Amino acid sequence: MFARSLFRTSSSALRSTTTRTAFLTYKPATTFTLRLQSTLSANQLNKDSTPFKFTSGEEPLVRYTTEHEWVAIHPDGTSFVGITKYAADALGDATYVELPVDLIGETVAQGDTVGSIESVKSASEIYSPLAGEVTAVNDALEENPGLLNEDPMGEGWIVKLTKADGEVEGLLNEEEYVKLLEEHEDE
Amino acid sequence: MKKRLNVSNGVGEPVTVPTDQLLSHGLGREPITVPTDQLLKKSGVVKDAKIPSVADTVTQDTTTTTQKVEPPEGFNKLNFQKYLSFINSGDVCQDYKQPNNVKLEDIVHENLPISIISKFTDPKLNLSIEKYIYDNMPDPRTNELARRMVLYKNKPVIVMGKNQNPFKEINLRLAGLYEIPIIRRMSGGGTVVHDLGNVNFSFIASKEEFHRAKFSGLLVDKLNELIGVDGFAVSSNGKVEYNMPTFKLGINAKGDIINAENEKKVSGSAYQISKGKSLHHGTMLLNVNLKVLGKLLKLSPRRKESIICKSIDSIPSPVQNMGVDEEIFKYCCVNAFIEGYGHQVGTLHEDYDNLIKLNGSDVVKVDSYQELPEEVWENYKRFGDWNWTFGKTPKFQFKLYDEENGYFDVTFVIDRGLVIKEVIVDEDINGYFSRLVETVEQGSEPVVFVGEAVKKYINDEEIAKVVSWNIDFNVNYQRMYDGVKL
Repeated sequence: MFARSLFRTSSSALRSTTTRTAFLTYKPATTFTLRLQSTLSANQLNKDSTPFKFTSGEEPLVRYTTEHEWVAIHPDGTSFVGITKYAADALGDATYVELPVDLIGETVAQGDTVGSIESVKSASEIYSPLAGEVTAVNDALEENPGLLNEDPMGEGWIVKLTKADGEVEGLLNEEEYVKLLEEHEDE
Repeated sequence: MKKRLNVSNGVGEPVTVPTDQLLSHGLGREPITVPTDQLLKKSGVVKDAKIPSVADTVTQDTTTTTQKVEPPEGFNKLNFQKYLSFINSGDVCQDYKQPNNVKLEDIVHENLPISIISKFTDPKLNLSIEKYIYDNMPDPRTNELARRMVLYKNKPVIVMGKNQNPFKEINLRLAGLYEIPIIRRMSGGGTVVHDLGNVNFSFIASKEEFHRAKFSGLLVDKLNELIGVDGFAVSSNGKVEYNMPTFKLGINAKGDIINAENEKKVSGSAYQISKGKSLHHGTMLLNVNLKVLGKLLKLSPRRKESIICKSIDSIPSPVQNMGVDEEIFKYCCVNAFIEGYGHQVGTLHEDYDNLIKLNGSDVVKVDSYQELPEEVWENYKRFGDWNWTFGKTPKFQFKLYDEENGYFDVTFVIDRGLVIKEVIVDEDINGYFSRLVETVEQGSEPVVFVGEAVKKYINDEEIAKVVSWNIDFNVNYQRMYDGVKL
């Protein structure tokens, strides 16, 4: 669970989505699966955004971390990193994004700090889901930190890196990530 | 109702006695009998000798003047006395006996709730100790009992939030003049001024437990319980008076502790989340010089307008001192922490001179430089480094123009590391800035945004002084950051 207290807000938001979905589809389904679907779509990459469309005609591979980061890995190794919708909601309004400018051109290991987000007086660190070389940071966040809340899984990406060769371990696929969120809620 | 007058007790302290006693003295009847505890009153004004209200006189007559309100059970008076003698022991040293202390490095990895009280007052050292404790606490996701409460007081210092701009938040002129150090901390939020009348508390737990007001809530309950409790009743001999809370506290929408009645802040908060952990930083104004505090963060409107930055703004709020004694406040912090997280869950086995167990939870005192681990001193270097505090300033623009003659109107674009990236010239009739512009454009030598450094590139001596003054009011960084070369 990201934050017990803040979770209440996001889970009630989830519930309202669930109700709406149920109303529109008229499908007799259990609350659980409906909630699963809504959570899933909420934490999916925005298909109209740069991190998704970077390689034309091919979808990136999207993976998640238990720390609520996402990474979109493109065939050429170019990867975009950001925080999930769930994390953005839990943090609240971002007021400043500390971009890892110093790391551009540097190699980072999986789990290394790649910046931080400040929201309502709290500074939260972001960790790299992959090992690789940092090639760019999302300068748009400097001018408009609110982008992180508006489109966390799209134009609110934080770091761009070139994935190092080799298999990536310890990352979750969408299903596993949603399951993680569900488990947190049940706690 | 009896009128009361101030008379001298012979040691220069006014004591309040009822009129009849005063008159009786003059008339040679009964001698004045002033209780010994009243003579020990710090303020010299007897608090419980207030004029009773009409209702009081009807039902209770004058008995209210001698009534002592005992602290509630939750306060645990005996524990307070135990805490007091523990925290003060060792202040007067027995020179033949070295204390047998547990070192910080021996306890930081424990999967236990531990309160740690630093007796140091060097702000850099306290922040370094706190960071050390935070970084070395085991991951609370797998060490479910691991939590920390850290308490300390600092000598005068200005502490900025992680993502703030000192040029925008701090009255550098006054900070430089008074030689008040400026430090950037690890948590977010706004700028605060500490002095010895302020106590800092840090609550460290897991990221999952992160809550802006949970610990504050526990603390507020503990303090509110003590309103109206007699300040003599908590001391071991009943002869020393402690200043107890006098007004009810509450928590505002932002999670700050406030005076419930007038909503003035008595405490500020900031938070840090990393590596599965969370830290809640709190300040508590007990007895701070609020006039100086406000001045150190006050900037002229012109200065404010001259800086354009996306950094975090400090939001000035009306503040008030709580007025309670430090001992009471710190004890309440420990008490709230133990009640919430540490009650009887386990303690270290051995006994040490700098460790006590309160309600089955460890409280450790840190007061020896020699026993601090190397990592603390590494942190110390960082907190005392200009490159951290000033160098980590978010990008910003600084506008400087000649209001009087209109000779120049320039904007400095300052990048990370406080390096001037660009100088935009809107007006420079006499070419004062040409050499600066050229140097910055060439990029052969970095020009840092420091008055003394920029000064060298200005083509007119008088204008150079003006520019330098307007940048940082000639603050002496060398004194503030241990001989830094800029």
